[in-house]
Amino acid sequence: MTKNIVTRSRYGSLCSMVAALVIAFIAMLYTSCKKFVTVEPPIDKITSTTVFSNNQTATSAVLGVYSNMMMTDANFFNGAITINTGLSGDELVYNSTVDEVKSFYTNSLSASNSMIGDLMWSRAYSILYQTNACIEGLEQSAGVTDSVRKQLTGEMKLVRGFIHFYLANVFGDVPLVLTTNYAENSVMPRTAKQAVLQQVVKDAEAAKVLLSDKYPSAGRVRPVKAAASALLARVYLYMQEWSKAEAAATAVINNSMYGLVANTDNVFVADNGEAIWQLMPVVAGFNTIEGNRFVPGTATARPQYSLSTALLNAFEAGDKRKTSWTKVNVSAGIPYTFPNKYKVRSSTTVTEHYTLLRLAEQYLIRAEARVEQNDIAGAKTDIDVIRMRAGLAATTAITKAAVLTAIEKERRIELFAEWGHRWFDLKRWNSADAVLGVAKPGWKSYMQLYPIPHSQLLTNPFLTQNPGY
Amino acid sequence: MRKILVLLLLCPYMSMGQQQQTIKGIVQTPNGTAVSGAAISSAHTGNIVMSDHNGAFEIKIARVPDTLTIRHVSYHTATHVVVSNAAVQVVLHEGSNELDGTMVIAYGTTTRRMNTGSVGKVSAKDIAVQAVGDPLQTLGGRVTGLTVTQSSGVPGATVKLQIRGRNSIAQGSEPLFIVDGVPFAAGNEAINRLTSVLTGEGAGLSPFSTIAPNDIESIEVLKDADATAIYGSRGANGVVLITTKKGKAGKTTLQVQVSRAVNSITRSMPMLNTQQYVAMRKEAFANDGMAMTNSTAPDILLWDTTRYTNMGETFMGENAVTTDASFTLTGGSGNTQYILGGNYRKEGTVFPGGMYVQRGTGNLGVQHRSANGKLSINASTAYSYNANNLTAGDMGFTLSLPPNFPAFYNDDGSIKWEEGGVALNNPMSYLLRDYTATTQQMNSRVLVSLRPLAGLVLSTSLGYNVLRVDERSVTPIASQNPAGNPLGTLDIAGNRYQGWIAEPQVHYTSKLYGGRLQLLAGATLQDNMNEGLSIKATGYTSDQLLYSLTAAPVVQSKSNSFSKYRYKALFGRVNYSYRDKYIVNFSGRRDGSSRFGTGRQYSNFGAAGAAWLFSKEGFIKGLLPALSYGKLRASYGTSGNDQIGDYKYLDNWGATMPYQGNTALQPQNLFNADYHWEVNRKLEAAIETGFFNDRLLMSVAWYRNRSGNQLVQYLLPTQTGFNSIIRNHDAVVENTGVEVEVHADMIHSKKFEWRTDMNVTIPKNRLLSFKNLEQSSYANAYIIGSSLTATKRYRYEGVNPATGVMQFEDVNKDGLYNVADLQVTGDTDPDLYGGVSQYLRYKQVSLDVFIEFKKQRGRNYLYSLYSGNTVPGMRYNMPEIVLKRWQHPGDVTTIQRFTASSASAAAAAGSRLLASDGIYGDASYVRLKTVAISWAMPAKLLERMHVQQAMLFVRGQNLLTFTKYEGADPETQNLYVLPPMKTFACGISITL
Repeated sequence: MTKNIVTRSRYGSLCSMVAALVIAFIAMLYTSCKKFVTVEPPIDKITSTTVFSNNQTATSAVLGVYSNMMMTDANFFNGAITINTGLSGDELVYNSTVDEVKSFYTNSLSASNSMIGDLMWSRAYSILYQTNACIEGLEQSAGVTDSVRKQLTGEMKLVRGFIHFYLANVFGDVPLVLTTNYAENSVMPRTAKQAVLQQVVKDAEAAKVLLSDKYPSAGRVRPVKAAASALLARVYLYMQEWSKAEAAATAVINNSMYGLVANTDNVFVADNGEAIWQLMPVVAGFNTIEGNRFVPGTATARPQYSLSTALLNAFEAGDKRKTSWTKVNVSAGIPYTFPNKYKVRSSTTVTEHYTLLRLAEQYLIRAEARVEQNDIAGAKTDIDVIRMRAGLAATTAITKAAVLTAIEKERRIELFAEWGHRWFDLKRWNSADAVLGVAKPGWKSYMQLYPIPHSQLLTNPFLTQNPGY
Repeated sequence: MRKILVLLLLCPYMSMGQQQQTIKGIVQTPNGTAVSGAAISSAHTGNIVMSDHNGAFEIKIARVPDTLTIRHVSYHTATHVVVSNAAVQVVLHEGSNELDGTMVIAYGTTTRRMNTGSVGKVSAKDIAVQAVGDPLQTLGGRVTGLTVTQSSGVPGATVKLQIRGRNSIAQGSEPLFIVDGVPFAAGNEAINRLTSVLTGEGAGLSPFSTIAPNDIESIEVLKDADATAIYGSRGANGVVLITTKKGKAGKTTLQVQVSRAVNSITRSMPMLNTQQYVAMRKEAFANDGMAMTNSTAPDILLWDTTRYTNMGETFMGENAVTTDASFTLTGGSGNTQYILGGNYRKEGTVFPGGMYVQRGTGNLGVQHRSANGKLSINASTAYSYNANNLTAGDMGFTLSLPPNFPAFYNDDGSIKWEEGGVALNNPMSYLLRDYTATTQQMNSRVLVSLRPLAGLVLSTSLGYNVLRVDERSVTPIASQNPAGNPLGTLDIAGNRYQGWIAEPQVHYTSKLYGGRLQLLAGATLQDNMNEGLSIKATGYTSDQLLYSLTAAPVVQSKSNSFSKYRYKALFGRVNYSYRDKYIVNFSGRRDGSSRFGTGRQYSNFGAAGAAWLFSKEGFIKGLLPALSYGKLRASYGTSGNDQIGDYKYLDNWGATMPYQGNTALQPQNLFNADYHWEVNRKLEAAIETGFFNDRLLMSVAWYRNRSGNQLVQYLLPTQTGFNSIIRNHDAVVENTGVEVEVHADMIHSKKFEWRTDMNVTIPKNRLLSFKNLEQSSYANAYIIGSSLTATKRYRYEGVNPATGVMQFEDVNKDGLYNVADLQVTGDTDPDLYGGVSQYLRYKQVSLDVFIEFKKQRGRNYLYSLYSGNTVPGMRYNMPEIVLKRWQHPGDVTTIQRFTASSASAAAAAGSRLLASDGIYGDASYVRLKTVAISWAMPAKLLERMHVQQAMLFVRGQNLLTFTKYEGADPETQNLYVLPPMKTFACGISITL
């Protein structure tokens, strides 16, 4: 009996000792590595605070905006505006069979068209977020030097204005997003188009103050002060603020850094004298997406997109632009003329940059602003600068109405298949219904605005659809 | 009934009093073979010990007489009354013992009889009869509460698992996978980065195709809070424990098995022949009032309209041959046992061009116990090498090619790219687009246990799992139309998942107040890492050096990714069993996870379970003499879901394509550092009964899981810059269900055996609440009170007999179809599913039959017909079913008029159909999933041939499908996705 008790108590104490030791061991292990679950940030990413802590990475963040604009799908910033509005309007003919593309040409857009939803709307707002994130990051940053902060903030404000300008002209009223606050942005309704354009003016004016005169890096692939003026000239023109438009255009035209390129073949090459703001291709194997999509693979291949007969007929005889900027492929006996402003379909070397703003447009903006202010002679001078370069004689228009018609025609030719100029012009001149009612079967006035993507109506109940869709 | 040998042996080290005696004994079969792994329990003290490899055991009892109960999974339970200190010999008779077989649970084992939680089990014998390559495929219909969906019939394709429905609105709903105590680093996500014939519709390369089903001893599916709460934040979606085979003591045994199988597709739809196709095209143009031109109808005007190719037979009609060979070598002494195994499998595909998938696996396991029994070491490692040689092209689309598609090759044997001036998308070119994925997987574990005192075990489990996949795909110039001056492209990608885990544990077993107390305490440190790389090189002007990255003129894109997940926890369990009658079980865990921001990293989870074996109550015995087993059990507890991805709390910026040669950065996600754990509350109650000496077992379980504080990838309008953000939301998802299992051991005699198993699950999923749903971005995606799979869609009203065009309900009659016309439509959850299995044996011949059934709604053939902008009448072939189309006003039919124009009303109706409920239909099915017949060589012959066992077998998988489903296969639900394979296999298994 005694032995048994001894065994038991020894057993008991030993047992509790070991148990206590093990529990202590586990507890120690647990507490000693409290930091165990705090992992260092991923090695392939950095946090926002780090990004805007110095000039180099802050600049990289801004370059990221341009890089993403130049992704090689035909997105909002890289071909979608030119191609889609060209098809919707009277510039382009679609020769292939992809239904989503075709519906632009047949003006039968659906709100669930992914080219509108993903490539236009969502991509525009994705880059918009990026610009806002940069603007906010730069504002809060302590490590970025003042001059760099100014330049980068100016660049981002200009891009933000540029995005809102196109959103408003493509969709009408759109959410005006100026912060990265997703809680507010996610329930934001559409802002009236005029108010959006006012913000474009505000951003471009701010950019004009912040941006430097000289390009901050090689080429013309980051915006400078003149780009802000050029965008301002265009917005004021659209808002019919003629004197401001004229002043802004004049500021660019008088800037000695810019001059029309005599040889029309070279208007879209990298770093030419006429370019105010270009984007540099980032994906290997390509130059611009427009070159890639417009120029067919072989000399006998049928181009996906060709120019409409009406547009081709509008060229005057001897216009250098017709030979420089268009080209014919004969496929299965049928001639197709396609846009050839950008000539490189694919290449491993980059010779062409994608032009967002160029000087020729500024002359035509000023011409229109001048004639609207009854400066007929001044307007004619500007038109003739463009006509001369194209190898044409001076305009014969005399009356205000005739000069306006001349400007309309000159814009149609000079700016064809370029960033939707024709489509937006028809709309702002209120001639879309008259022109397209003839050119496009089944045309209805509501088609001037693209539908708000269906997926967005589902996720933001405060958005409304454009009429007709 | 049994002869008993009694020997008396005294225990030399313990006191000799009445209170403490040690009884020694041995467990054997009638012919004297030792039975190891039998559980011997004392009725009086509740002590349980296991018999060793010699069948020997020692058990302490407190007094005589005492009754010992001896249980083993493969034998009928026996009892033995101890009347003296003499040694005991127990004879067990073969049979199945569903209640007392080992059941693997979290950090330990139990039996179905004593378990307080809900655990489903599929054992090696059920896995063995199935002729499949991926172990997850063997689970379909076999476990209540578990749905298994094969994504495609291509070998190596992912198999999706879901336990008791979808708990989370936006996060992962795959269970936690643990292989031999080591979390499977890749989980069950598709491990490929490149697209290939394997991908599409959520499919991809399955990480589990690296495990040979033959190596698996059992797969346990842990379902309720009692079973899963100890896995804390990882347990919300249930846990799947895969346990591989272990070494067995005894003489060296070599088992070799070789089989060959032929696969073909289960179910597809007959397509139009050329005559029918041409008629369809002509009718379409006539309907549209359009004349055919060379550009709109080259297939009719320029191609030979008498030519016919059966695309299904040409591109998915090969008889794929599978060869499978494996061996297992086991043996060892009482203290050391080992297993050495290997498997080789080569599986062909139904595609032309000799594509195949190969797997080689090897595993080695050693268990050692020191002579004094105080130290034991269990080490195992398994390595697997898989090579998938497939194509990067999508073979499914070939079915939609016009049946008069021109000859695939020119006379000189080169690929034909043009006919009648029209460029051809020649599917033969896809065969040239080589895709290879080589996957290596290794799983190693060492478990060291120390038993310093009786009842106390200190152990540490160290595990390491790595899975690495290397992919390569090429697009040779020869596979592209030369008219486009194509260049060659090489894609290289890699993915590595790696994890280690360390889990020190203390197990303590003791008597307490006449019952048995089991304590477990432990800690977990876990580190997981995923690293990926992909490179796209292009510009190759010749196919000669296409596989050389060095030779690439241009690197078109390159990217890598990296993420790390760290996790630590303290866990514990208290189990108290009073006279094996009343059992309570408490478990808990404190978790810390690196997936959350500072201050949000820790959370506690816990559960309580209880069981009452009411059949042991005297009054019940008197009341229901036929009742041999009866248990009521219930559990309640919490677990979490951490499947949210890594680093989501950081406002990360990552690299995008360089601009001007400089690094360019972009934001990766919207910033929210404040989200925290999602909590899943699980409640379960069940009754388990056994009749006629446990030969008829029935159980019914009811569960209710509620997941609140939903951690959602909250959908946002893209005007926010992103389409989603992670945040917690006041929303509750509920899964309820009833699970019924019946096991009947109808006949077991020496000559004839018949067993039946049946299980049924009736689940229900619904969104219980969602704060401010109407104002949220989910307003049109979810409906409170309905399943998460129920969506708002247009109501399809069939084909208008007057116009022949599909019509949809215009709710507000405004002539437009928009958000206002969307209505709540049915869900796609299964209403009911389960399986019935039969095992019959007559002398040497046995038969296994397994039938799986599922009642559900799913996508029908209309979805396949209209997705991808195809419409009957256009230049795509269609299934024969479209011949039912509308032709004349007044026709009442289900297929609308043919059209060849994308601008027609019928084409517009086609795109609207995809947003309607018209693409859903009854996808219920009853599938004869497994039939296996085997013949075991009789003993006399075995002796003469000097082998222990020999068996010839014929096995069939997915042999018949009974369904009213309109479409190809009701499981894959897409005409253009390869359906599951129908397999016939035969083989031989010999044990030396």
